[in-house]
Amino acid sequence: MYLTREQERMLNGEYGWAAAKALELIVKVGEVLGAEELVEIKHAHVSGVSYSNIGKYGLEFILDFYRRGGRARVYTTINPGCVDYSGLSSIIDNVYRDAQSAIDEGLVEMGFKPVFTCIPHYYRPPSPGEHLAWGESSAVIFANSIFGAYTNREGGPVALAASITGYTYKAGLHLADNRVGRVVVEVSATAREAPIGALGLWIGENVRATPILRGLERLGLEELKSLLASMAASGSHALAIIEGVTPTETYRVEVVDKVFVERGDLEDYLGDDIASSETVLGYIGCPHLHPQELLYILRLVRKYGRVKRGRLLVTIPLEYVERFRPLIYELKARGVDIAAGTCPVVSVIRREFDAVLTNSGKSAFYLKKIHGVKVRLERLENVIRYVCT
Amino acid sequence: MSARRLLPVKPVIPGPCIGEVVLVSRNLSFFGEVDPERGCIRGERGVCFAGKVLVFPGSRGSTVGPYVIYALRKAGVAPICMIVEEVEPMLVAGCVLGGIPLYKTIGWSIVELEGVHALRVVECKEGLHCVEPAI
Repeated sequence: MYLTREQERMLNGEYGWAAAKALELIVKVGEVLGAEELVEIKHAHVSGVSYSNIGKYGLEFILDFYRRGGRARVYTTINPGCVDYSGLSSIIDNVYRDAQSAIDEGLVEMGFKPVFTCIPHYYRPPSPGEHLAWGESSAVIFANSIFGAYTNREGGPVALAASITGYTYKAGLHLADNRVGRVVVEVSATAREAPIGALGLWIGENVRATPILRGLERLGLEELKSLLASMAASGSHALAIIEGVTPTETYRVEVVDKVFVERGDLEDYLGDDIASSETVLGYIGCPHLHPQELLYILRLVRKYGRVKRGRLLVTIPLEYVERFRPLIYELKARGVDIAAGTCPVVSVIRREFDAVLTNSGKSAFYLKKIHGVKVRLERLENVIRYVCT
Repeated sequence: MSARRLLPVKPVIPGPCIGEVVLVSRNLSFFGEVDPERGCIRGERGVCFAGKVLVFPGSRGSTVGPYVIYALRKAGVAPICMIVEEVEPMLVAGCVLGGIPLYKTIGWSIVELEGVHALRVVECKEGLHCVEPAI
């Protein structure tokens, strides 16, 4: 691999142990993936920071970089941890508070912005063609598909290394030649009426090449987030071309196949049946909510008055608790459980319910596997109606 | 298997690859679908791959994956090596961190290894590596 003089000096330890070790990881991964050079990045987003996900070895890995001098060279944000620092939630169990605090202190001292969210694009929307090194599969696919930014699905450690060095390897989606849509996905009108997360899970499991999604240009923010996050959970997609949405100069199309998705294809992805006798946790906020989604939820809850049946959990970036205080407290007064800077996928939850009803295909995919709980997919409006009536 | 068929592989991360086969026929998200303390696949039958050759189509899902692969190594329950049909950056990062040899199939599907109890990766021709199923 070609390295500049600066990069060679970094690799040789002239910028300290942490930068050398971080660049070594990037170069090794890059060489395996056929990269010929590195690329300067504008924004790193570090995933894999939740103690309940990465455990003691992950904690040691991160803190080793911190203690041995690793510091951010570029703008860097971090993913949610496993603690609700707002203290508002009674569903998230803060059992790992001490370990998570240790990780977070290290991350903050390294110069990472403690946003604790999986929607880094809310803090810094990327530009088309901009090179990023993002972890968090849902954020990666959103950056490439909605903003036309260039990032691979960097695993947590590589995103950390890219922050410390300012570079990542130039392979995969950093090269225009790899940003090619090959499979046209058309969706029947009845399939469109199903929760969009089910479509995302279907695409993730059944389409291997980069999909070209047709007829979905009128989806709103909430549905786009859910669709893309689900695809990146049940599959390994980092880019989906959404005709009419994805910036046209950031991809090419060479169609080799076309698939048509009917309502019946999605049945297997809607999850478990929930009996009316079961206690339900409604869950919205995977990925974390944008402010306009939060406002929409408040309006819906207002319409019904308050949460009356089971629970409703909403997850948001930590900062919203201060920034949108009146809104948060009104939701809380109406019986909504709020957790900030975390979510049930990356934390321990108190199991005071039998089943989860959610609009998020991604959380349906993980909650079942991690917490062994029944999960049903529904449209956002129906989740709220269920717990409020 | 009477006739021993050699199946070509590309060494993505070279290293020793010999042992009992654990074949998983679906893509794996190491976070969520793998128990990092025991080296087992969660769910249905709880297949365990610690100290064995893990064969699967490819990785999917969470970018926490590399930390899970790293943790498998640290906990002493990592597979000996992995053989996949598709490599993606995350899987590579995990195997680099965990020091786990990684091989990619060339022109064959992992279903060919159904019923194969054990295998090893050998240099079959000059510079070419192959999977040699045990009889």
